[in-house]
Amino acid sequence: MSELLKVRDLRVRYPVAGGIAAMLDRNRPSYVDVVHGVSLDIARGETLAVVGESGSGKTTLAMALCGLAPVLAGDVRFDGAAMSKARDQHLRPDRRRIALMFQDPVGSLSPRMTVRRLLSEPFRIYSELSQDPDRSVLELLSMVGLSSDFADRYPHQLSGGQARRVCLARALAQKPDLLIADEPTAGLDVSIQGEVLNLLSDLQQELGLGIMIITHNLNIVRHVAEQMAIMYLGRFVEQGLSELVFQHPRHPYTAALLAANPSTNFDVVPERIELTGEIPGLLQRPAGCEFHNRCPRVQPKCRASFPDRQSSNGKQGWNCFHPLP
Amino acid sequence: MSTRFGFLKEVFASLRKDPLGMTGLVIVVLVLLASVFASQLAPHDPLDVDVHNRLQSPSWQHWLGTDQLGRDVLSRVLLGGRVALKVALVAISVSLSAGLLLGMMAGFGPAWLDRLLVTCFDTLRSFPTIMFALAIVALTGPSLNTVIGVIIITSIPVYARIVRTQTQALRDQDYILAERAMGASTARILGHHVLPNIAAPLLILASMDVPAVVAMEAGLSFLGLGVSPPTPSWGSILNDGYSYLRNSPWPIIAGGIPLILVTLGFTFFGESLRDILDPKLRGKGEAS
Repeated sequence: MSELLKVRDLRVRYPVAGGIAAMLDRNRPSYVDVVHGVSLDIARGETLAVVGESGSGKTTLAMALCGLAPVLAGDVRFDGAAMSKARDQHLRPDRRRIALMFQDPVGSLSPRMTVRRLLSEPFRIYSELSQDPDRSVLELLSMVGLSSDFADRYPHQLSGGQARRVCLARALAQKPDLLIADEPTAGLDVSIQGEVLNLLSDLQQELGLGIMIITHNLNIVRHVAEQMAIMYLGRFVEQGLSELVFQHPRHPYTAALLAANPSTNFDVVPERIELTGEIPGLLQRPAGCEFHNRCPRVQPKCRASFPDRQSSNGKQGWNCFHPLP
Repeated sequence: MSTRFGFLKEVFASLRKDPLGMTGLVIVVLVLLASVFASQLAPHDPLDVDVHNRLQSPSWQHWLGTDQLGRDVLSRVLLGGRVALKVALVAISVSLSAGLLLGMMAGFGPAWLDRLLVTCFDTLRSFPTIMFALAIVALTGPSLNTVIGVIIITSIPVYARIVRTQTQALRDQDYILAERAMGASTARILGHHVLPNIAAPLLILASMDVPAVVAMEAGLSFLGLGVSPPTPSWGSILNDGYSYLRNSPWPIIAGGIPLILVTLGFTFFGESLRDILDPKLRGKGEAS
């Protein structure tokens, strides 16, 4: 499979608004690292799922790859070519070839435009995409399983699942090589979740898309993604082939996530690892391994330094001094 | 185009259920018609001096009486309306367009541009309008164009600040980010995605500004800073009539009533337009 997206040590840093709180507290940092050194590879026709709790930086990672968040450091290559940075530190992706589906489908559709107008937006921006935009819009609608009646509706007249399909259609209109889908199943009924995911994988096979799915729903990872990455406080603490990670998690956080995931397979009773406390705030990033204050296997070393990446034959990697056996 | 027409129809249907708004619309339309056809409707030449018949009460010949030079007040009020509405429409459309452009630049552009423009807006707004008008008139002499210019310069910051705030509220909305991620140009985002979503409050503001501008023109003309005699304007009619108020109140009444009517008409219309265009006040469908 050919390499599509290659990211090395990506960091996203946002300035923190100053104001009175900053004046009173001199120790308050003036920036926050939301993505703290992420590396990933996506090949054509391959799906990577990024899993993590709320606030772990998943959405920011997607935004950064689409040039919507300031990048501090890191090397991002798309289809072999390095992405340059604009003056405001945002990446300059090839915006046509990378499509982004937002978490909130209705909110990401311009409220005063009909579906027809919304779907023809990409054709107005890139006139070379379609000779006959009107026909292409209808083709797109049928591709995502919506009837042509939807063309004249406004976003607020769509249900969550319909709006999600319109977003997908709009993303496909760009004829992208990489599709980044932020929580593509959030807020949908289980049956519609399945439809949307099947639609994604059908289209992937048809068009050879690379897909990055961002989710906190482990069940859909198993369903659609060959590769997965577990994100915690802006870092990938474990990543690799989904099959391996599910069968044999090495990082305690991964194990805890998998154990907390309700499963319908009652034959296998997983060892329960209970996490206490909340994910720490990004402003108070813990020293050493970020997970140490919630980790059941914590040792003094974990509080001092961050563990290097270890891997088993390149198919699964983790950052932990005391991985699960 | 069909959606725009449907929108107008929708506004009209809502107006019919709102008697006050409808009254406003009727007044606005009547005043507009009267101004457009002022020369045809005026029974006399508004500049025709007839000193033998000065300061007359209303009669069949002069429906609203005559002023201190014997000119027909009705004809002067009609043609004065043309001046008033010309000032209002030109001044408001120019300052609204300029305010839109500058406000969107401030709201969407980089932080330094925002700071620069906001400082300019605040500087302009800190001058009292009358003082500013006096200064400009001292430089250029009184004329209708000076009045229009003063009103434009003092209104641009008002519109621009509102546009800036609205644009800032929209710039981080998902649908704007989605357009950026798709590769839409800034001009495209502003024109097609920001403008339609901030237009409603601006239309309302503009329609409610018409009486303020008409009153401002009347005020400046009353002070002698506006149109130069003998051109009729509501303000100059009031100014002329004011000295003879005890003997003959007719010019003051005739010049004041249309001013009150225009103010009421545009205010009623603007307020009901606000109620109609505010999506929260209008049942827009079950979702969202």
